[in-house]
Amino acid sequence: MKELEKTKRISISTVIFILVILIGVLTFKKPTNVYKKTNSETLAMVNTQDYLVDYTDVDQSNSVFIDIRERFEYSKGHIGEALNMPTADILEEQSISMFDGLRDAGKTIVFYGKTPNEANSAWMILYQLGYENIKILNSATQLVDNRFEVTNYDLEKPIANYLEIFNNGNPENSEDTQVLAPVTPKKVIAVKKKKKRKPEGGC
Amino acid sequence: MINRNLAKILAKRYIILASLLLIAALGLVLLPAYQKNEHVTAEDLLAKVVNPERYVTSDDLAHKIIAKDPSILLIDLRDEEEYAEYTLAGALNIPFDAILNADYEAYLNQGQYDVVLFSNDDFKADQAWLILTRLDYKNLHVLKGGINGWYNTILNPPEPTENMAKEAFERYDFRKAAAMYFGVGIKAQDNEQQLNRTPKKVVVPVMKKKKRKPEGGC
Repeated sequence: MKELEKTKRISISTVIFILVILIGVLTFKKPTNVYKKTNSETLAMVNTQDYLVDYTDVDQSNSVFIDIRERFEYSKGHIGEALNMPTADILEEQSISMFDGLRDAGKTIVFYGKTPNEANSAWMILYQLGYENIKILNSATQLVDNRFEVTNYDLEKPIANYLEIFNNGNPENSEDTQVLAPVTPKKVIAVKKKKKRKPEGGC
Repeated sequence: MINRNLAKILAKRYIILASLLLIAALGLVLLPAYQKNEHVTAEDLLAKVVNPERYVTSDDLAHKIIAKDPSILLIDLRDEEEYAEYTLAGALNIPFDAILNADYEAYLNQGQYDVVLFSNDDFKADQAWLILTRLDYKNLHVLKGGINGWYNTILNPPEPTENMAKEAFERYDFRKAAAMYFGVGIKAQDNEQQLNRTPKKVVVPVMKKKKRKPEGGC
């Protein structure tokens, strides 16, 4: 009798074990969008500037323009055959399958917005997900008299000699400003923090 | 008849169960290795990108600097030369190439300060923001328009025309006053002094990161 009890328990636990494995396998969810690039790879790419393309350099026959501005902006005017896909929608299922299709077809995708800055986030996320055929249009776009104009854009270029403005001050109130002068603080905040100490010993 | 069949199956139940287990075990071994996302998933990252909270306007920043808000930490992502030439008050220099450097992690990855990243425009700062946010660093912000925007709005604000709303004039007055505060309109000689002083101030070495192993214990 005792023997029978034991074998019964064995079979019950085996069945439970199998059930657990089955449930585990069935509920396994594959992550949909996985980063293919590490952070340092992305940083290296960002520094190359290879991802920026001028409007005149775009190979029209082998490229697809994608307007990442909002629908309303797009509806007012856009580059000839551009498609619209607001930044918020780039990871939707349809968008991803479209990107996959274009990548497999060997097409270049060119993102543009009002400025390259606007298209930057969408490009970066997709680049990190492994879509290397995407580029950013290095142009500013705007609607002028109902015509959609694409103009060149100087990325990250300092617009002025910042110091100049300090020298162009009014000389007549220099007496007062003498007092104000030391206000420009170039303080270096010393951030002494983050000593993540592990809890020490103890029983 | 049924009983006999059943008995036959029952007699083999251990073999059946054991083989099932074996198959399951083999299946688990052969499961394809799926990559996992470390830190922030692409979807979460996108949600943060779309959230306008990541930008700080130059007016807000000017307010905070003038009020000596202790909770902001300005990070200048430009080159050292550019930093030495001109930067925002109290900003630290972390060149864009070095943002993943372990030395600077203590500045970027912390919960006490609102970190404001800026570069000439907001393009580089945005990219740095994305890379760092993917690492799940908190409290990061980008100065909208960068230093160019700062120059155009605070240091050299456009004069409002007469048909503009009252707020525009108030904003203009604030910006003018802020520009004064930041030193616009001071005599040239002061600037020269300042110029001479600035290069020395590039003191950013961060010696930290003492990850101590837990000591002793029983």
